[in-house]
Parts: sequence; C-alpha cells; structure tokens
Amino acid sequence: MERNPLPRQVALMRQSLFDQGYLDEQFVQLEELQDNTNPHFVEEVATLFYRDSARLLANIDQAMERTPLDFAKLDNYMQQFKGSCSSIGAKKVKSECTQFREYCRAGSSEGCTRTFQHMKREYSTLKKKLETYFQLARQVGPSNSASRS
Amino acid sequence: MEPTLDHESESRKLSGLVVDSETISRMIHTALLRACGIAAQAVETGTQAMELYASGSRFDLVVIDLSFSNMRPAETARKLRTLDPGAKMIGITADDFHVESRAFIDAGGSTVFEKPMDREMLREVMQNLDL
Repeated sequence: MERNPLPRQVALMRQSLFDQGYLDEQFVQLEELQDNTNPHFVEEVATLFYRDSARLLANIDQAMERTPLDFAKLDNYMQQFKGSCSSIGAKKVKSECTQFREYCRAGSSEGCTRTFQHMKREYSTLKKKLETYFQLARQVGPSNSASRS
Repeated sequence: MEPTLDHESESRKLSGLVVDSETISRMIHTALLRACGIAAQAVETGTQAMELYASGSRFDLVVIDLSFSNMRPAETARKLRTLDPGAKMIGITADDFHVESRAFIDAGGSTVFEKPMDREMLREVMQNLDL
C-alpha cells in the first residue's frame, strides 16, 4: 500500500481537537455510533447541531438586546443550548454556557454580555475546525475517521 | 441442518421508543438504542407516543426526555403505564430537573439519566431492567 499522508493528517487533526479541549468524550461516543449503515453519522449530527443552534443563538442575541436583561429567559435558552453542546461534545462552548448561566443566576449583565461574546467565538472556532476536519475525513473515506489506529 | 443460537435472538428483537423534542438528542439516543440491538423508533412528544400506543404499538423500552413542551413526562409515563402496565421507562434530562425527575419516577419511571446517555449506561439499564 502506498503511503498517503492524508489519513495521518486526519488522525492528527482529530487528536488535536481533543488535546486542545475543543471536544470531549461525547464526540467519541458519536464516532462509535457511526458504522456502515450510518457512515456519516457524526457529520450529520454536527451539521444538525449548527443548524438548530443558529436559531437558538439568534433568539439569545435578541434577548441580549433588551434592557434590563431577562435573566430567567436567558438562563432557559442557555440551558437548551448547553444540552445541545453536550450532545456533540463541544467542550469549550459548553463551559462558556455554564459560565453564562452562573452570571444569569448572579444577575450580572456585564458577566452575561462578556461570556456570550466568548461563547460565540468558541462556537465559530469549533464550527470551522469541524468543517475542515469532516472535509478531510470524507476524502479519506468514512471508515477511516474513527480512533482505533 | 443444525439449529444455532442465532435463531433464538433473531425471533425476539427488543423494541424501543425515544420521546424527545430535541432533534439532536433524539437522533443520538435512537442511534444508541440501535447500536445496542434495539429496534428503535422516535417521536417528538408525549402526545405522539400516546398515538403510537393507541394504535396498538408496544415497546420493550421507552426513553423519555424530561424537558417538555406539551405533555408532561410524568403524565406520559402514567398514561403509558395505564396502556402497558409492564412498561419500562427511563427518563433523560439535560439538567437537574429534580422536580420532574421525582414526578416521573413516582409515575412509574425506572430511573433518570443525564443526557446524553452512552453505551455503558444503556447496557447497565438494560441489565437492570432484565432486557
């Protein structure tokens, strides 16, 4: 078999997403649910996550414009969002959600505003990284994306 | 021809129902059930679950999300129990829904897990519920 750097690139990229704390164990759980009958499961879940959460984030954006902030409502939105983040293993985004909810409970507008900015940054960063990763992984082939090499 | 053990497991595959209004969670938990050998279906609401039961469907395991938009999970559990007294139901929650967890278990739910579930948790549950 000829040596091809691409699978190695994919594996390294995947590993770095874990090492740098972008993804947690839940992502591995998703990978384990991927098989021949469901060869693009992880990518499908991630795509759905970004699609659904875009709507939720737009709602949060709007709610963040109000003065004073409706902390109960914001907490509720963020709870939903955090749930979605947990589902795909979006570790950093999830931790910003937790932080945001703490500021909601403390009634801190400044804290919420700041954290929301951080969260949106992490959210976009992860999106780009996942897009790149899935693109690469698709080139290699569906069966190669899992951890076991 | 020699009979094999495979025939035994093929004749009675477990059936499961996931009740979850959240798309991703519903997708993941359905795939999880299937990965553990359960023929799984999914609906979004307790009302839809009741429609399935009303049409005669029965499931060995029902996984119910405790965050609700229309029918309360405890209500769903109560109603399923009425139609299927032996119903085995577990709740899943994205957060510490203590109030709803208690109500759900009082209504016949076996246990409550934090979302998302993983294979280990599901296997343990299946064992505990004799599935």
